[in-house]
Formats: sequence, C-alpha cells, structure tokens
Amino acid sequence: MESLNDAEVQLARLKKRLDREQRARAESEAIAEKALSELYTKKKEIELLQLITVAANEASTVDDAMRTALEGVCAHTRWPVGHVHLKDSAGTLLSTSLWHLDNPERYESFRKATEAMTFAPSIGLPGRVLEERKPAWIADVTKDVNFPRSKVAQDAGLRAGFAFPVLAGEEVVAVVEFFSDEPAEPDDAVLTIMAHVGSQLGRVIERRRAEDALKLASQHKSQFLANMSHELRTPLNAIIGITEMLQEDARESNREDEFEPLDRVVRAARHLLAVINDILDLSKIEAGKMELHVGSFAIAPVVQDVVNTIGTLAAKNQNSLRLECSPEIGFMCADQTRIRQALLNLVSNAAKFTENGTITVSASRAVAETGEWIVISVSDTGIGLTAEQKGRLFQDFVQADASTTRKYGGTGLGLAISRRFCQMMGGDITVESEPGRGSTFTIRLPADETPSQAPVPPQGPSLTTRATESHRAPLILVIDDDDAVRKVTTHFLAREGFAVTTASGGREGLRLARELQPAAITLDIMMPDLDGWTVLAAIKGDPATAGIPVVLMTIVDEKNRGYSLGAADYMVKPVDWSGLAGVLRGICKSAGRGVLVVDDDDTMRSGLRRALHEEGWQVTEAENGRVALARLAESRPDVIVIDLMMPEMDGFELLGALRSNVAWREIPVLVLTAKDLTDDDRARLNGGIERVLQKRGRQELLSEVLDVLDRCIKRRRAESVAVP
Amino acid sequence: MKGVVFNLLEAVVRRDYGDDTWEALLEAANTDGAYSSLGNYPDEEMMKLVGAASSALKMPADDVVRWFGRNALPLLAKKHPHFFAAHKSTRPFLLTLNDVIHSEVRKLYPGADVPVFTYDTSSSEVLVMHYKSPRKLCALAEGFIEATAAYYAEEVSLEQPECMNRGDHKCVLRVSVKKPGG
Repeated sequence: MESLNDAEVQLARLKKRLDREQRARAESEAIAEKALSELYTKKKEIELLQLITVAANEASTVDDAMRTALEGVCAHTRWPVGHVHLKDSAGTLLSTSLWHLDNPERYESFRKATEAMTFAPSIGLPGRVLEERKPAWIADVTKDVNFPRSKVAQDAGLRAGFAFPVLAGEEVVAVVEFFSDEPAEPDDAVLTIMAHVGSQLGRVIERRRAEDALKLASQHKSQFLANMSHELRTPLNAIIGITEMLQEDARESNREDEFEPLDRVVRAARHLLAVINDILDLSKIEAGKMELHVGSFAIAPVVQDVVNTIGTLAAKNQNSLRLECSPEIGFMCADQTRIRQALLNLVSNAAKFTENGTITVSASRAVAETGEWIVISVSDTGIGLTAEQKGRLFQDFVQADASTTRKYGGTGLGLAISRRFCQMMGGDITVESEPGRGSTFTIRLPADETPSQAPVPPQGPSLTTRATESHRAPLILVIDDDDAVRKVTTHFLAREGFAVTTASGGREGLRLARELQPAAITLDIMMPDLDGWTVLAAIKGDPATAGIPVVLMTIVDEKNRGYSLGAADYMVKPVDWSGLAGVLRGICKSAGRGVLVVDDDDTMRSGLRRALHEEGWQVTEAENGRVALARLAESRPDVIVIDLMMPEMDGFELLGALRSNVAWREIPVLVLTAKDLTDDDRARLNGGIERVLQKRGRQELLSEVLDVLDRCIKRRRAESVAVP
Repeated sequence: MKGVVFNLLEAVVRRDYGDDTWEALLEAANTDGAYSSLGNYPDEEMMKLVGAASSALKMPADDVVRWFGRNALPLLAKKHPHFFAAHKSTRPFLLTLNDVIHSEVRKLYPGADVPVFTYDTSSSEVLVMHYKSPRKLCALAEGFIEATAAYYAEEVSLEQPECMNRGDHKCVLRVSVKKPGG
C-alpha cells in the first residue's frame, strides 16, 4: 500500500518535471524564433544599406542614387509611397519628380498636392526633419497637427509617415519621406537605418559637388591656358614674320653669312609655335571648346599628302615610306584638318623612332556591324614600345619615358591630342607594339554619312556668276553675316566689274570656297557660327582652298594676326570701296595664273616661286613627280614647270602620267633641266612640251621662264575666248 | 540572470542531493522551475533557491554559492574545454575572464549580464581581482576560482580583505596559487 503510494508520488513528481521541461523547451523555441526573426530583419537592413551604399558609390547621377534609395526603402518597409524634397538656395524644401508610388493612380492627388507645396523649416514632416536634422516619425498623419497635407493624405488612405534628412556634412540638402497605408508606431530600428541611408546619400551629393568644383577649376585652368597661348602666339608670329623678311633681305643682297642664324631663329620660333599650338589644342579640348569642322572629302589625297610631307623626314633616318591606299577608298565625312593632323603625327613619330626601316601607311574601308569604318594604320619597324610604355602613351604630357623626350624632342602632347580628335569624331587610335620590332598605330573612324560618290555641289546662290563662265569677271566670294554688308559689297564690286557670290556664315563660306574656287574672298571676322580667324585658318589649312587670296574686312584692327594667318590684305570697316576694288584687282591680276613648279632642288624652287609671285602667279610646288601628281589632284594649274632629274618619280615619268590623264593632257609644260639632253631623251619627251630650258645663270633663266609662261597664258586666254 | 545558471544549479543539486531535493527546493522557493538556458529570469529566483538550499542543507548561503561554483565549473570545463586547454595554470586563465570568456558568454547568451573584473597584477605571487556587482556573488567567484585551480592541479588560497557583503563598496579577491610541493 505504502509502495503504491510512493510510486504515485514518484509519478506525480515525474509528470511535474516533464511538464517543466516542456515549458522550458517551448520557451527556448520562442527565444530562438525571435532571435531568428531579428536576425532576418538585421540581414534585410544590411542588404538595404548595401544597396544604398553601392548606389551611392556607383550611381552616375544624384537622381539615380535617390531613386534607388526610394525603391530600396519602400521594398524594405513595404510602404507604398516615397518621395524626395530638395533644399533650394533659400533654404526651403522643394518637391521633386522623384517618387516611388505603388499605385500611381491611387496616390495621384497626394502627389499633385505635394508637388504644389514647398516646406520651410519646421513646417510639416519634411520641414521638421529639415529643422531638426534627424529622422522623424508620425504615427498617423491624419491626426497630426503639423501635417498640412493631412486632408489629401486621408483621401488617399495614407496614415503613418516618416522622413529622414540627406546630410552633406552638417547641412541638410534633401529630405526623403515615406508613407504607409495604415497607422504605425515609431520603429527605432527603421529610423536608425534611415539615418544611415541619409548619410550615404549625402555622400553622393558631396562627391558630386566636389567633382563639379574640380571640373570648373579644370575648365578655368584650360581657359587660362587658352588665353595665355593666344597671348604667346601673337608676338611669336611677329617674330617669325619679321625674321622671314630679314631672311628675304639677306638673300636679295647676298649676305650669305646671315642666312644660317636667321634660319635658326625661324626654326626655333616655329618649334615654339608648334608646342604652343599643341597646348592650345589640348586645353581647348579639355575646356570643351574644341569644335570640329566636319565635311565630306576624298581620303586618298589627304593620306598621300601626309606621306609626301613626311618624305624628307623619313629619308633622314634612311627609312623607306610605303603607301597602300587605293583611290577607290572614296570619301568620308569628318574634320579633314584634324585627321590630317593626327595622321601627320603618327607618320612623323614613326619616322622619328625608326632608322633604316620601313614605314607603311595603309588606308582601307572596313564594314562592321556598327557601320562603315575608315581604318588608317601606320606601321614601322622601329624601336617599339614595352607594355608599360604603351600604357602611358596616350596620357597628356607624357612621352614613353623621360629619356625619349631628350633624345627625340617633342611636347609629348601630339598623340594625346590626335587621339582626342579621333574620339571626338566617334573613333579612336589604338596601338600594337613589340619592343625592338616596331609599332602599328591605327586610326579608326566612322565613315559616316559618306556619299558613295563625290558630293554633288549644291546650286550656288542666285547672285553667283561662275568664274569659269567669264575670264574677264573674276569671282569674288563675300563672307559676312550682315545682310546689308553683303548687299552693299556685292553692289560695289559688281559695278567694278567683278562677279560676286555671297555666304552668310563661315561654314557656308568654306563650302562655297571649296566648290567655286573663287579668285578671291572677302571675309568678316565677327560672325556668329565660325569666326573669321577660324575660317581663314580653315581656308589656308585646306589644300583645295589654300591658294585663294583672302582679304579680311572687319572692324577688328588686328592686321598682324591676319597677315600671320595668311591673309592677302586687311581692310578695316568702314571699307573704302575703291580701295577694296584696287586690292582685289591687284590680286585678280594673277587669277587663273596658277603654275606648278616641280623640282627637287629647294633653292631653284624658291627662286622661281619668288620671281613668279612678283609677277602675280600663284605658285604651287612639288619636290618630285609623285608629289606633283598629288598637287595636280588638288587643283589644276595653268602651266607646269618640270625638272627632269628627280628622285622617286622623275620628269619623264611625270610627263608620261600627265599625257595619260585626259584632265591634265592639255596643260602646257615647260621642261627645265641641267641635263644635256640626248637624242634618246628628246625622243622620250616626244614634243608634247612647251619648251626645254637649260638651267644656267639664275636671273637669266628666271626671266626666260617668265616669258615663256606669259606667252603660254596669253595663248590660252585667246583660245578660250575664241572658243564659245 | 541567465537560465543556464539555473540549469547548472539544478544539475549539481540533482547529482549530489537527488531529484527530490531539487523538487523540494523549487517548492520551498515557490518558483515555477521551467528554465530555458537562453531565457532570462529574475535574480531573486536564484536568491530564493539559494536561501531554500541554505535551510535544507543547514549551510550558510555563501557556502551554498561557493559549493555551487566549485561543482558547476567542471561541468562548464567539460562543455567548453578549449577555454581551459588554452592555458596551463590558473593565473593566466583568470586573466582572460573579461576579454575571452565573458565576451564568448555574451555571444552565446545575448543580454548576459556578466561581471567585469579589474586586476592588480603588480605581484607575481598574488593576483588581486576586484569584483563589483549588485548580485554580490563573490562567493560564486571563489567557488569558480577554487575549482579552476583544481582543474590545473594547483593549490590556491583565497583572501577577501574587502567584501560588499560586509559593507565595502567592492569585493577584493587575493588569489595565491602554487603548484603542489612547489
């Protein structure tokens, strides 16, 4: 009986104990579940913060970062409405277009009401946050006394709300607010995390401000450089011009001992000018002020011309220069001057850094998914580049290494500038290289808007009388943005017997100059689209127009600058009309008298140039037959003077080429040679030439040349008048 | 106080005095007795259980607590051997209490209100530990220290020149340890 009792007591105790254990277990589970749920919330908070941090670091704009924050916070809290207010300079919050709305239609009226409001410090939820610079929570906005939007919030079914400041340093720059569709008591965890979100977003704004300040400083620096370069160029041009005059004098009075030092001054000054031009170019690009003059042009002559220009430099290091460019490559639409500059830079670099090697320039057309590309590559067998040098190659102001500068000279800017130009035109310059084996630089540019054939020149303005229509009325192109000036100039020049065509701006002027090849151009300086200086530089920089004399007509009295840029004359407005007519008549005396002098002897060429110039001829020069063909492709001279013995392509070959081309066959040729012609030579010349002159005493020869040329032209003129 | 301390007390009482004694203590202390190691329970419950044990075992409360400490420590050493294995004697182990042992306790039992000791190590013979806690459980610390010395097979002598239970504002434990025969 007693043992039964004991057993019952024992059982009761065990039951009690089991019951205790079960309760303890239930409690443990509850604790674990709560801990897990807290862990989950923490994880979500960390994810939100991570999202915001990444957005803060990577978003390209402040708006993007804000938008990410709105989405992230709304997803985290499952609240349907989020909005950003930005503080203006007066310290008031302005509504922005940055919203998160789960249901835009439902919250339409709330959005409109918000966007119509501004919040001063301490007014409403955003104002309170602005004032206190910390997050705030309203459990139910419809019952809050400081919530001006309570009515419209109630209509939209919005109840709880919180907002946090976006702090840049100590300053509130924006306030972000969120609303729930049910009332909710403040959640400290949410408010804490929102304070973090706010400071992350603030960093985006701080960073953006710093970047803007930096950019502005950089632009100021570039602007300063541009101004300084300009200030430097003006006197430098004077130095060059005056020294060249002194050289001329020295030459004329045979003071031989002065040539060399004067030549050194000119060369040093030109080098300095080139350096300054590089700096000016780069700072213009940096300041975003570099403009491209895009037009359609034939590619082959440009490439050929660059190769010709570099010929001497390449020969100096015993390099052979090869050109692979088919004339079928056709046209492209880009800034010709800049492409020429970039290519010139690449080829001259190749020539500098290669000795006893081969430089190959090849141009081709490539079709890719992205459209048609023009690919021009310059390969050399020179010193090449290490991977490290390659990395620094395109950086501004950096040459492959410092010793390179000492050995090879240069500013180290050329490549960086060339690349920027190509990038501005939608392309790039890339390099492949192996140290000791050589380098290949490749320019890739979109062929863009390229007509399949040569562009058809548009019909000229109605006033135009084509130069070709009348030899007696030389065509003058008047470029001026002022309608009245154009009319008056046209009137006076027509009365003086000129044919006149007009252009109302620089771009149109450049186009007409290329298409119409006028006898002369009058050019205004102050024009809205392209100023006259730029137009003048472009005219003189384009071989197709470089020979056209330009008279500047402007109220800006900067004669020296005009002359240094290649202007033929300078008229200050108001223009003396008869004076202008006189100037133009002087210029046009030589109109239609173009002569191409082909001779490898530098002295001979310059002697002829000066003599012919004085007599009003426009002289183009070529140092061999190949170059002559390139010049001929650019513009057709009235007469050609050819030396027979030349490197690369001699006079005989050139004559052969001339005869086989219909366009050139009729051009009178004067052969000038130091060679005693054999019968065989005479047979090869086979008539077809105006006259053969033996090189001997200079003055004698020159006057003889002039005589023959004059006769040529007179006969031509007579013919062209006779033939209707 | 953390439930794990109640679990330890239950374990040593059951082991040394039998299941019935524990049931009797719970009844005498009038406590619920369902303790989860992760839960938090009022300090008074522990004090009531200690008081009940003091009456039942006819032992001063401090001695009960000291006994509890001495017997609970081997259980802890068994459960978390790496804290002990990292040292070869009592003194360096005691010096890790704040930075290692109690910081691990906080990780395992969030919200654990463990004491912070300050040490006076100016003497190489005697380690002086200052203890300050509203729970005034310096006896528990003594029990733990004695058992730790036993774990490392060392002889320890403890003095308490100051004690909160005697009206001082802190307890000062002077711990002298020596190797047996050393």
